[in-house]
Amino acid sequence: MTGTRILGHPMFIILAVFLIAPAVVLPLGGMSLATEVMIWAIFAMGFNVLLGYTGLPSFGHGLFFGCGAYLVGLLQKHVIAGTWIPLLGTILGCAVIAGILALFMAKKRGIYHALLTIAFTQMFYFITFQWDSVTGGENGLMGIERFPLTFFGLFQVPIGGTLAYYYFVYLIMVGSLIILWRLAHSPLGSVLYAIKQNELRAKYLGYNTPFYKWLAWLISGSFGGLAGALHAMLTNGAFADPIHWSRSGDVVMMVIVGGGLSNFFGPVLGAFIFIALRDIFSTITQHWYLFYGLLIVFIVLFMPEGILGYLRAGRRGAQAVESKI
Amino acid sequence: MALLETIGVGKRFGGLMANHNISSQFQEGQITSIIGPNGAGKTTFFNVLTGLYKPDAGRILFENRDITGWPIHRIVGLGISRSFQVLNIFNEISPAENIRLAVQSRKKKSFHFLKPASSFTDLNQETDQILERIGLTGVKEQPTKNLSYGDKRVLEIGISLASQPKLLLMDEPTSGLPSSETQRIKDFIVQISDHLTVVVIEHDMDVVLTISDMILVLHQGEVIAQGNPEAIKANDLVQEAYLGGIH
Repeated sequence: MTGTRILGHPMFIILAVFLIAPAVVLPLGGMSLATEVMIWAIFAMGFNVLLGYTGLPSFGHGLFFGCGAYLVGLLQKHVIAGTWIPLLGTILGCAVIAGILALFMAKKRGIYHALLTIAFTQMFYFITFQWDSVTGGENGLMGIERFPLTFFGLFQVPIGGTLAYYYFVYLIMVGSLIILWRLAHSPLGSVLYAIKQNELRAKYLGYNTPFYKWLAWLISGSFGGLAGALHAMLTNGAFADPIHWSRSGDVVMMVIVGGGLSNFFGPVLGAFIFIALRDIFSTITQHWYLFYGLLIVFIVLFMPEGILGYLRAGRRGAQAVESKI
Repeated sequence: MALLETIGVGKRFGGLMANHNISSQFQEGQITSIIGPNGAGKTTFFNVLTGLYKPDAGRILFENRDITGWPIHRIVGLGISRSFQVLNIFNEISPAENIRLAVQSRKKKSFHFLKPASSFTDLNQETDQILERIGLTGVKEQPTKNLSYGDKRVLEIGISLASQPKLLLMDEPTSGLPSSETQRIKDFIVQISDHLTVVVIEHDMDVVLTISDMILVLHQGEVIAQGNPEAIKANDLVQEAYLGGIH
């Protein structure tokens, strides 16, 4: 790969933009918003393993975000007051939850699959909302902290400050993007994409497709849990709200708006747009979802492949014209 | 030796007997054609053989092993592959990637999740060989959906071949092709039958009578005749049910 190709690569652009963003954002006092963009980007990228790669609609993905938030809090409270172990435990825990739920969903398709995801997320919503003694009920689980990172007891890095936490999340996002990028281009990723295109044929190539769909759930749920945990550490609390099915649409819309159905990086753009619009419009009107809804209608009607999909198609069109000339 | 044997296989959809009491043997190394009017249950028979439908009655033996009711991917894993009447290929990726998916499945490389799929040289070499064999090397990196219908038909078969099956089931491989292209497919079937067993559903009697070692005639879900091409041509029942106006 030549130097210019690396510099022009979307991965490099995203990493560079988020690396230097604090220079602009910090004076404006928007560090936690910028951190939130990256957290939602991780969530949406992980979600896209299901929707974008494998073609499985999940309208209850807030379940993993919410479970991640509660799990990291509970692990901090009851197991160890630290960062690494609660985070790893949360990822593992959400993988287990995804693995169990996906047993019910991996053989379902289309609308039945989607309905099950909604049913499961509502089930978890009511459990977390009602189970006061463990989850704090409607008050949420408070007091989730950003403990300093320790490296084998040798030295510590504090992440309590907003800037330090931003870069902590940044590094996790970089790791997540690289892992998911490699997954998307790996043999496993090619099987998931084959299932999206034509599951029957994938079976006739010898693939046990329910098992691969189950794997996609496992991966997706783990990243969802990771994002939820990072979000809980950002806001110092875990709440039932994100688990409600009506909030699970947020991540679907991020993927669709950004162009995740046809572009690997679509979810990152979608997360940025969602947080930016929420922040801008919600200061003007509490009905900001109305404007966001209009944007979604516009995009679905005129850019069905999302913003990045639209731009890419435009560029392809231009190339075609050039080659004719 | 019979590579595949069915004993009294039946499949019913509500009141319709799509397959009834089908007993047949498919000999290793032969080309068997399945013929019969529309709705005779030919494609259903393929679907039952390959695990898409579970039979309501009877048993299916492959290499003397009972595979009745097995899921598709396990049956494919044993060495049974099929191509479809209606094109069933991966349109959003290139022909090379279509083939590679099949090769990758057989070589059990699909759990690698961090190395790029294109970096497995053994997969690529085999993919290229297959593309060469089916004559699609020139278009291998094009989007599959831009291929000509004839090339898509060939790719459909190529994907099935990439599984390196012992038994290949082909459902109307010449469907929708002009006669010039039909010849290409016909030659191809004869060529591949050198080292594998082929069962083909075909309407083109010209193709059927020239390539077949054996012919199985289905009518309303039942076998009404089986035998070599001469025997079938001479069979009165077949004349009545199917070959009616041909001679």
